[in-house]
Amino acid sequence: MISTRKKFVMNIMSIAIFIYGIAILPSLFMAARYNELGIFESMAVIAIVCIPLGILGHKALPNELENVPMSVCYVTTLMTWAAVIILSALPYYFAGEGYRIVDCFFESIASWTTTGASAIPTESLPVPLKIWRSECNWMGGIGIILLTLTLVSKWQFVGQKLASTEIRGPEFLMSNTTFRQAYRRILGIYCSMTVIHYVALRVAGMTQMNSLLTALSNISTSGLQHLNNGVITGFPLAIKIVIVVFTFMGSINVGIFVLALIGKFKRILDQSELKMYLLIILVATILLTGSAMLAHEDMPFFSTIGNTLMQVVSFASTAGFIVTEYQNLNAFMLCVILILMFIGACAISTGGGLKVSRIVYSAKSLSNNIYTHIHPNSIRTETYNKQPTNKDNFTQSNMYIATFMLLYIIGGILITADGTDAYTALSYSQAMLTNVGSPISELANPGIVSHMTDYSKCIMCFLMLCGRLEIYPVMMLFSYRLWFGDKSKTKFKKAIQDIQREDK
Amino acid sequence: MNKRIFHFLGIFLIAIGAAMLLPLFTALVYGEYHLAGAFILSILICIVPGWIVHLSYKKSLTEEKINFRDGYFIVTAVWFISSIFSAFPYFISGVMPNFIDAFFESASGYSTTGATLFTNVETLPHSILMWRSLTQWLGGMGIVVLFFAFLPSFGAKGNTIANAEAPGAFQRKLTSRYSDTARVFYALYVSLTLVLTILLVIGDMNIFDAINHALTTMATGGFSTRTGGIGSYDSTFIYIVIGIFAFFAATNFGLFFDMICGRFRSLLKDEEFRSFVAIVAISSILITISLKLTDSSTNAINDVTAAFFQVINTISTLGVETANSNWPPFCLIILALLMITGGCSSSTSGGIKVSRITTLIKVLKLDVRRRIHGTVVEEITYNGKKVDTKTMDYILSFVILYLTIVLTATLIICGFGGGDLMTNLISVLSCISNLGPGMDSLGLVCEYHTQSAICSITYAFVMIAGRLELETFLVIFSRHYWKTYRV
Repeated sequence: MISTRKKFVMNIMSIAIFIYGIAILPSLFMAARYNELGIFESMAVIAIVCIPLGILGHKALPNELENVPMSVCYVTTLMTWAAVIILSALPYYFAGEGYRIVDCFFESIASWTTTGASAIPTESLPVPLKIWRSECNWMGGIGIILLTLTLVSKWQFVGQKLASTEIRGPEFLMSNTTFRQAYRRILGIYCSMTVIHYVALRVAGMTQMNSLLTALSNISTSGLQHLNNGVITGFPLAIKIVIVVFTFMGSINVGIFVLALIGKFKRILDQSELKMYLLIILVATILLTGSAMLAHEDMPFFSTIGNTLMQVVSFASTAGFIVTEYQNLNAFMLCVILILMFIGACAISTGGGLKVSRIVYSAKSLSNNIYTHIHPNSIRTETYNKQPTNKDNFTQSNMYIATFMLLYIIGGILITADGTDAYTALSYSQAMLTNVGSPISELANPGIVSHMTDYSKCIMCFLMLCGRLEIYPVMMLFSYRLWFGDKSKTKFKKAIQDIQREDK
Repeated sequence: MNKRIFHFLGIFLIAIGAAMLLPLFTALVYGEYHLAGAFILSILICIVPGWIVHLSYKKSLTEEKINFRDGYFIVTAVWFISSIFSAFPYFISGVMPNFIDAFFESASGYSTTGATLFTNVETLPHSILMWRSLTQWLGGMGIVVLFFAFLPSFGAKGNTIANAEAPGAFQRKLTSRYSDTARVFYALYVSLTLVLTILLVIGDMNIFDAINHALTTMATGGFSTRTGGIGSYDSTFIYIVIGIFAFFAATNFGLFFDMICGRFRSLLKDEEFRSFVAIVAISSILITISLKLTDSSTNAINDVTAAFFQVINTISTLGVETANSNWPPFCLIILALLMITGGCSSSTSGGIKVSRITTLIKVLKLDVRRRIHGTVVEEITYNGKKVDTKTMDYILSFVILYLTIVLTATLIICGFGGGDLMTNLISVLSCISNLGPGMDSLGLVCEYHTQSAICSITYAFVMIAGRLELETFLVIFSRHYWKTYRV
C-alpha cells in the first residue's frame, strides 16, 4: 500500500514525466527532418514510454492529500527535478555519438538549471540535441513544477506551497487573485516573450535555426552556447541589442509584467527591487566604462559605454555571454563582474545568483541593526515596496546569503581536491552556484568545462542544482529528520504513552 | 558631544606617551642614542596635547555621564588616535619616511594583524622593533580594556564601553565588577607572556627576540624580528612552543579563569572551545592527508607538525611567516576558511569567531527544520543559555557586513593598486581577519608595500574595522549616530 504522501509525490512526478514526453516531440521531429536516425529511434522510444507512463501514473495515483506539509513539497520538488534531469540525460547518452555518462548528466543539469555551461563541444552536437538543450533551458527557466501546476486543475492551495519551493526568490506574486491565475499569467508572459524574441531576431537578420535556439535559451538567461560558444563579439549590432534587451526582460521580476498587464503603472515605480537592479546595472556600467577609458584613452566613448552596458546586463542577468573583447581586463573590472555575478538577477525571474530583492532586504536589515545599536529600545516598522513587511524576511534573506557564501567556499574546496588551482576552483564554484556558467578565470572561452575532471564535474552539477533550487531543497537531502522521523516527536509520543499507562 | 569623552581621550593620549617609555628604555640599553631623541619627541607629541585636553575638560567631570552610545565613539576614536600617534616614532626616526606608511604599520600593530611594510626587518633598530611588538601586545587584549583594568573609578559603566571593543558575540561576566574582570584578563595575559618568554629563551632564542616574539604571539599579531619569521629559526621546539601558546591565545580567556578557580569541567562543557578543538583537529588531519597524497616521500611526523602549526598559525590569526612552500591548493583554501573563522571570543585572535560560526550553523539548522515542519517552536541555545532573536540578527548582519566590507575594500584595492584579483581578495580577507602575511609562504604573496597610499589607508581601515568587529566601527559612520533625534 502506498501512503498518501508518496502518492502525491509520484502524481506530480508523473505529470512532469508526461510534460517531458511531450517536450521531446519537437526534437524528434527535427531528428526526422535532419535524418539523424539513431537519435530519432532513441527519442521515439523515450516519447512512447514516457507519455503513457505519465498519464497512467497521474490516473492511477490520484492525490488524496488536502493539506500538504512543507517537507513533502520539498521532497516533491527535489524528486521531480531529479527525475527530469535523469530522463533528460538519456537523449544525449543514446544518441550514438559516444558521449560519456558524466558529460550527459552535466549537460542535462546545466541546461535545466539555465547555467549555460557545457561539457560536450557544441559544434559536434547534432541539431536535434541542440534543440533539446535549448528546450530544457526554456523549461528550466520557468521551472518544471510551475509547468506541472498549470496542467493540474485542482490544487490551487497546495500549488502555492509547492511552487514556493521551486521559485527563485524570497517572495511570491501577490498581485493576483488566485495562484492558478498567477501560473497561467507567468506562463503566458513567458511564452509570448519567447515568440516576440524569435520574431525580433528574425527581423534583425538571424537564421531561422539560430533564432529558435537563441530565443529559447536566451529568454531563460542561460547563455548562448550555440552561438560561437557564447562569444558574440563579432555579431551585428542589431542582433546584439535584441539579445541583450530580451536577456534583461528575462532577468526582471515577472511581477513587473503582471503589474504592467493589469495597468498598475504607478506600483511599478514603487518596486524597490527593480529600482535597485537598475541602479546596480548603472553603477557597474559607470565603473567598468571609467576603468576601460582610463586604461585606453583612445577608445571611442559611445561604443565603449554601449558595449559595457551590454556586458553588464549579460552578467547581472546571469546569462554570461561575452559581448566585449576580453584580452585586457584588469583586476578592478574582474572584481566588479564578480560582485555582479554574486548579486544576480531579480526574484521570480529566470536569472540566478543571490537575487536583488535579498540584497535589498539585507541592506535594510543592516541599517536596522545599526539603528538598534544606537537606539536599543526603538521599534521600527520595516517596509518593502512601501508596504510593511515581516521581519522574518530579513533574517531569512541574511541566512540565505550566509549559506550561499558557505556553499561557495565549500564548493571551491571540493573542486581543489583534484589539484585545480584555488583561483580557478573558486571561479568555477561561483559560476556554477550563481548559474552564470562563465567563470571569471576563463572569460575567453566561457562555460566550457570539458577539460575538468569527472570528479569536478560532479561537484559542479551539485552546485548548479543548489543554485537553481535555492539551496534549501537540496539541503533537505542531508536532513536527518526528514528521512528518519522527528526525534522530538517520538519522545513526545512516548511521554504521552507513559502518562496514559500511569492513568490506567 | 559629551565632554567626558574628550577628558577620557586626553588621559588616553598621555597613556600612549607613557607606553613609549619602554622603547625609549630599549634604545638607551642598546645604545641607539640617535633614536632616543625621536622617541622623546614622540612622547612629547602625545603628552602635551593630552595634558592640555585633560586639563581643559577636567571641570566637566561632574556634569554628565558617559552612556553606551558614547562607548562606540570612544572605542573607535581611541583606536584611530592610537594608530595615528603611535606612527610618530616610525616617522620621526626616519625608518618610515612616509607618514601614511607609518600609519599602516601602527594600525597593523594595534589590530594585531602583523602585515608589514618593512622589507628587511633585520636592519631595523631594536627600539623600533620593540615598539612594533609592544603595539601588538597592547592591541591584543584591547586598549580600552586595559584602561578599565587600572582606572576603575572612571565614572562610566566599563562594561558597556568595553563590550564595544571586546571580541565575540557573547560576553561573559566573570566577576561582579567589570574592572576586576579586566584585571583578571590582563593578569592572565601578562603571566602567559612571561612564561612564553622564558620558554623561548630556553629554546635558544636570544632574550630580545624572545621578548618580542612572546609579545606578538600572545597578541596573535605575528610581527617578528626577522624577515623569515619563525621559519628562520629552524627549531622544532620553538615551532611547537609558539604553536601551543598561539592556541592558548586563541582560546577564551574566561576559561583560564575557570581553571584557576578550579572549575575544570567548564573547559569540556564550553561549546565554543569544543568546536574550536574539533575544527583544529579536522583541518590538521585533512591537510596532513593532502600533503601526504601530494608528496609521499616526506616524513610523516614533519607533515603532521607542519600541518598542525600552520592550522594554529592561521586559525589564531597569528600569521607568522614559516618556511613551508608549494602546498596544494586544497590546503590553501582550507587555510583561507580557517582564517575567516578565527579563534574564540574574548581571546586575542581575529576573524568571525568560532562562537558566531557555531551559532550560525545552529540558526541554519533551525531554519531547515522550520521549513520541514512549518512552525517549530524551538530555541537555539549557546552554552545552555537561550540565544535571543536580537543576538541572532546581530550575528547574521555581522556576516553580511563582513561580506560587504570585504568586497568593497577589494574593489578599492583593485581600482587603485592593481595586482590580480585573487591576491587582493586574500590580502583584504587577511587584513579583516587580522592575520597579516600568513599566506605568503603558501604561494599567495600579499604585496602590501607596492601599493599606493589609498590602498594603505584602506588596508588600515579594514584592519581596525576587523579588530573592532565591524559594527562598533560602522555605528560612528551612521547618520543616526550624529542626529539622535532622527527616526
